[in-house]
Amino acid sequence: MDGHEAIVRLSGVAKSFGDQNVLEPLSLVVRNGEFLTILGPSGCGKTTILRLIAGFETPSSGDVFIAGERVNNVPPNRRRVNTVFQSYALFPHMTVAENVAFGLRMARVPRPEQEARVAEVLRMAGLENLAGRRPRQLSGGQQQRVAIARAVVNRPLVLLLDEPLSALDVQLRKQMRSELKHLQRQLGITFIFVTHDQEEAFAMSDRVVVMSDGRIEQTGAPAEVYEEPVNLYVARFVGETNILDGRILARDNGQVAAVVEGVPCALSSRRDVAPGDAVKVILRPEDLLVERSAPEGGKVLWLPGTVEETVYKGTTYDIAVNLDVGKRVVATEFFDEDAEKIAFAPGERVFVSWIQGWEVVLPDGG
Amino acid sequence: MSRALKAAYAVAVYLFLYAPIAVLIAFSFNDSKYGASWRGFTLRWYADLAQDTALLDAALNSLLVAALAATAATALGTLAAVALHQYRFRGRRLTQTCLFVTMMSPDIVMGVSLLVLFVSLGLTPGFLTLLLAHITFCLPFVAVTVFSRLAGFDPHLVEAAQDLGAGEFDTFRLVILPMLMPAVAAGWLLSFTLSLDDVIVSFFTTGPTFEVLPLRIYSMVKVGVKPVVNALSAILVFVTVGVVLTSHLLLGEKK
Amino acid sequence: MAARTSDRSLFRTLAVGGVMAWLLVFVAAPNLLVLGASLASRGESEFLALPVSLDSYGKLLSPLFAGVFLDSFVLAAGATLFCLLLGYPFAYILARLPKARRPLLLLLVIIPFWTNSLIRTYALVFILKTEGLLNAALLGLGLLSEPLSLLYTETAVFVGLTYTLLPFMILPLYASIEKLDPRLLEAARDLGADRLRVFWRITVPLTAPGIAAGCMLVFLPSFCLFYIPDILGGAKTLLVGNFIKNQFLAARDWPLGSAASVLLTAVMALLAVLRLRLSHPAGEEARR
Repeated sequence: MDGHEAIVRLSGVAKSFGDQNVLEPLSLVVRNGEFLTILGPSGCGKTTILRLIAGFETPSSGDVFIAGERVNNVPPNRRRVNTVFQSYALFPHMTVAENVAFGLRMARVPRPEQEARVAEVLRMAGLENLAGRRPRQLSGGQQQRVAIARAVVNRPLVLLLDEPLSALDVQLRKQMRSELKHLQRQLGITFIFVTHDQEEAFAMSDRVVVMSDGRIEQTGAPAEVYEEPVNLYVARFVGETNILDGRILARDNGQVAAVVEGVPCALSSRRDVAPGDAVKVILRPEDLLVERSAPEGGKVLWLPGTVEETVYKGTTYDIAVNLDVGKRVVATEFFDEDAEKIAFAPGERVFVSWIQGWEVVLPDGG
Repeated sequence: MSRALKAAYAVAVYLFLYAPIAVLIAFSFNDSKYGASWRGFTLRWYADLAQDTALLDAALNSLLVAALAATAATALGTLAAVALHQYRFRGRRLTQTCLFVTMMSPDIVMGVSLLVLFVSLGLTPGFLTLLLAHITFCLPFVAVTVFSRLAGFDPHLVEAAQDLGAGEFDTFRLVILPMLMPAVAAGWLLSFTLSLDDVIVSFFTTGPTFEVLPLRIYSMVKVGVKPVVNALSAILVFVTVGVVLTSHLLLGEKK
Repeated sequence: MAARTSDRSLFRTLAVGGVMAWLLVFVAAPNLLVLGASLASRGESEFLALPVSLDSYGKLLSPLFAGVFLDSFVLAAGATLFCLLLGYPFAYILARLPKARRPLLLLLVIIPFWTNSLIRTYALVFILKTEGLLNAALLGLGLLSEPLSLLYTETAVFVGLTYTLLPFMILPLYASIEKLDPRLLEAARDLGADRLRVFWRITVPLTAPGIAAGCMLVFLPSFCLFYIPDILGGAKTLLVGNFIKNQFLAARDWPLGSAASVLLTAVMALLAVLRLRLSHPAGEEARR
């Protein structure tokens, strides 16, 4: 199956409710067979995108395409997509089996086939023994599986999931994450998942769409978004950041000479930065190095500072340092029982640098 | 405010509410034509009731109209509630206003306006006009009962049905209506009672060809005390209690 | 998947169209017709005749109708006040009972509410008449030496109105008081307010919507329940409802009857607006 054809395409789609612009005109291509997550805080418009694809909203402008066909005016009951709702929305007066069979019944699938497919899906979801129960007799996790089964049994082109794990407790969430991932691989159906939980998005997705305030900030594989965020918002949203200020002096292909926090150093960046530009240097906690003394020479800069506190987290070890230049940074190191430098004490003088090449340079104001 | 005082007050009000009815029922067993003082226990008024064909005919008429009106009003009222809850349509405000007006209008305003309507249409007051009138005043009560039930639903349920391929009618038939059943049934019972009890609207919208019970009682009672009416009233009170209890159970079931 | 465009619009069209058609024919049209009738003239063989005029409204100002209206107003206001004074403490006591006790006691209020008003009015005859229960009790207790002739008086009509409409006052009051958060009252006491202050400044304002609803449900019908004066008042007392009935049936002056009916509708509209204002103070928007 070709993993690159577009199964869903949003072209210049915008949505407003009254005078409230929920979505700015945006475009998005969802590839067939991928697990795509739309990630963003509440109110950023991610659920609206889902509803536009499902057909519960019509775009104020722009077009929605499913499998190449323009579906703006096609009602939800005629689109080959199915939704798993955050509240599960199981029909309370029907049994589990009847709930799951509903879509097949609407499609006028012959009875024997209905029963067979329902049985198969229930087995796959581990729900065979619950077929005759009512939703209120099930636990949250079971209800969720029924919701997924009910959607998946119809073999939709796309499955839309609206924060389906948010009502579950932490353990169950983690378990469901890998189950959903496996399910998607098994079925080969395109999943579009919506969440505000960055860890969840990264754990399950092939690609992530980061949104804020009705706009798409960045689309890409989790690693790409994490290590090469296009702006400060994305950088901050997907993980911890340390931000240093700098100014470009000169540029030579991928190598850039700059002054960072008053200290000259070399940066690598393929970005379009010109001499004189103010930039932000983004560093993840795991990119930073903390030493008691600055090694001599090298193109790498060492910034002096004082240890504020250290937090032992089991596998890792966080060191918060107040730099002399006035900024606070947090470094994360793997806890190494043998290493001498374990015992940084608050108040100790240290030098902070980073693993060369791991920095991200962003234009200031990005 | 002491407990005893509160209890006494509450009891007093309950007494106020029930004493006349209790007396009424008690006197239905009184062996006296004028209901002046207690003369002895008898069931003869109930026997007379069974013989009074005019009264029984009127009772049957009332039951017939009540059942038909309740059914029609429940159907229309349920559709009205669903339409107002689900759809955005042009006459929405107008529909809500009409329902409000019907519920809040004094019976006499309704009775008189319908009389004017029927005369304008050239209809003679009788069974049909009465039925149409009853359906009209029962409608909003069903609509309100069903609507408040609908308002408590998970809004995603209808979306889920649509998502799975159901059209408007299937969604209504297979998802909305089954979940509404208790409210629909309560609405029917409500309408049935309202129709049976109605005096004023019936006064203006029925004719000599079709007599209903409350109007018959009215004419009998204007003249003075009639023990047969006591017996009838006792039965009606009993029926009312039954209906209220049933509808209470129905509405209380699904929270 | 089978395309079913047809059933999408058809059901919706039928549902919306059917309901709207019914309401337009049986609610909107009749009220408009009455408005029109009030502007017509009295006909000879027909009920209504053509010259359009405001005569009927003029007749509403005549001593005949004005007297009836005033009487009705006094009775209605009195009945409303009495129901409020009687009903509020009752509703309050009921609403503050432990949760388990409430349903049954509430049911005991709902039953008279649903019992045929005609029957309930008739039942009062037994209590109020000369040989009735009330006199028997009063005589028996030695409070009277001669029985009171209460029946067929304005007092009887007043008692009848109050008795019939009391549940209509109690139920909305109960609903409103039940929603009152007891912690608000505790907070007020904690801040130094005595019981009376708490009642006037906290309880009453917060239960104002219930009070407004209850008053509306008693005041307006008090004008209209013509069978109460017929049974208890011996047709000596006339309510606006009796007046309208007479105009339509006995006097055959439909324009006048219609004008009086329009007046009642106007009163209802006024009350509805007042009630809306009371339920949403400080100009909050009352959108649904």
